[in-house]
Amino acid sequence: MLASEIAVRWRNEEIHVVAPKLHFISGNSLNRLKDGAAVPFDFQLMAWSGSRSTPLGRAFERFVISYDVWEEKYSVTKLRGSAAARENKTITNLTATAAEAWCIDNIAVPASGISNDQPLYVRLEVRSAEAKASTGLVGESGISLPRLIELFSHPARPEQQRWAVEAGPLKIEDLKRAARGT
Amino acid sequence: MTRIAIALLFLSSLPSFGWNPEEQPNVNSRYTVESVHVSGKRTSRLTENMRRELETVVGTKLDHGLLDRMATEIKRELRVEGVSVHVAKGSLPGQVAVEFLAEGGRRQDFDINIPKGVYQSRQGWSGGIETHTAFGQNEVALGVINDGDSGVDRFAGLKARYERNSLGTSRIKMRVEFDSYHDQWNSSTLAAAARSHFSPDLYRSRQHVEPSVTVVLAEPLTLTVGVSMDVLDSQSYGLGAARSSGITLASAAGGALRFHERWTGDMNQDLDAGYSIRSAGAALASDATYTRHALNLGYHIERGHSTVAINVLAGRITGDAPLYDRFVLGNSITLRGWNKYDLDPLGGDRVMHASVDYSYRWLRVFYDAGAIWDAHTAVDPKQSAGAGIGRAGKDGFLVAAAFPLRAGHIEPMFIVGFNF
Repeated sequence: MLASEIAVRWRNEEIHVVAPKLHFISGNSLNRLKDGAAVPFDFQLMAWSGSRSTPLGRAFERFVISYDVWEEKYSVTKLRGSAAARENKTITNLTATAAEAWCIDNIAVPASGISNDQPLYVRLEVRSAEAKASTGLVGESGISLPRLIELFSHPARPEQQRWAVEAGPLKIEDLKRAARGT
Repeated sequence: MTRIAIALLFLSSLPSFGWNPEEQPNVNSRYTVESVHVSGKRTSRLTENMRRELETVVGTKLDHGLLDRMATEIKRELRVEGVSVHVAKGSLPGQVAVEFLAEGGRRQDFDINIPKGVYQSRQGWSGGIETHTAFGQNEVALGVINDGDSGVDRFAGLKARYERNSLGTSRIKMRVEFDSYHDQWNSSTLAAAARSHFSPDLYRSRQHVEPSVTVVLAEPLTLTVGVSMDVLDSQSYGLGAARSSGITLASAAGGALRFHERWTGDMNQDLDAGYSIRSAGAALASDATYTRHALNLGYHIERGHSTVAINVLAGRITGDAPLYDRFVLGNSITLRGWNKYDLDPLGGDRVMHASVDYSYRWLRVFYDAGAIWDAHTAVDPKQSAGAGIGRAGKDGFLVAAAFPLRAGHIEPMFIVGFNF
């Protein structure tokens, strides 16, 4: 995906992104959604200046998307915290595009510590975290050697889809100015 | 315009009635399953047990995780490459139809399994490998084993088994097992045999034949009846305990009742309980005369990342049973941390044992308590505990250090492996 297909926004002292052309509800994930399954997607938003290996800020979020087979609309749940102390945030009745936009809108990097005139780069990564298919490795008769060989013969998680978009260089002061303008 | 869009998003974010996204992020979990079908390849091979399990889903709220687990079971039963789950609108609003689609044609009906692979720091390695071939309702298994863990002796040799999964009806199954082993005895066993009041037969080899028939009385309760014949090539170690060389026949008739049920859902549970009896005597031309009763109970519950497994064993033997049929504690699954040769090098004719395993993700702790004794000796209960890596349960892989709980010097025992 081209860098121009991601736009960076300033909101509430945080860096947000908009990527209207990034469509991760597609392929295998879309098929599973249409079959009534819930598909988790892992997001990483990273901002850096200079070297990518020393990011100025980074955020991780997991969103679980499902497709209502009756309403024919998407639902998204943002998972927060551990399973025991989860404070989920859910939205329903979305089109695929709106569901994608909601996920991207709900991930942000805090901008504290980033100076206004620092050249800044931003990268958004999305991965589908498909449920692990059972390998049938372990059965009542023990560990199956052919399944074990099969498991190690295949590349890891070939079903996982991955997308990445980047923007930069840009400056916080420009983002703030643009935010005031809207 | 943006504010209107945000307001619409907010309104639409209110959760629908009957759906709790905190518990289940799949929006379809508010719908009720109205029907479940299995289609595609080889569906005629689906067992009655699985069909019954599928029926239990009808009328419940959709749980896609449960359906995925069922798909795995169906794949295993039908021996196909894959089973996919499709959820579609039902005939009435608020209901959905579930379809399992078996795909990819027939998988090879040949498998190689490792039923056991255990290393215990005091008793060494034990392991086995088996091949399975299925054709129609028939299954043949051939394997080799070297086991110094489960019995009093270390036995090594060949195992062969033929099974017919349907004998006129799928409620009746037949099985014939043939094993041929060579046996080795630990020095503690040899010394104990020399002192023993019942002069145990320290055979050097054993041929075992056991035809049996299993009848499904009422799912999931089964009854197995059969006979077993063991030909023992006896030997003398010159300790005054064993007989002179010769052939001994131990033939017995037996039966076993087994109840095995699984429940899946928010919590996965598995209950496996059984009682078995085997009796040998002159009526079966047996040189050994004894009756062996064994009662076992296994319960396994899994919720989230936590798993608890409880196992109980109780047994009693009257008469003089051959060493292969005597009870043993202090191995990789019972009184872990104790050495079986320290507890009872000849095995016991009375046993009581219970163990509790708990695992959180891959961290596992366990506690065992039990006693093994003979009719003429006092009961001396023992305890042990340990911790390690592995999942509690029937397919429990374990890497652990186990400690006998006793006063004085405590020497840990290391266990690596799995038992099925």
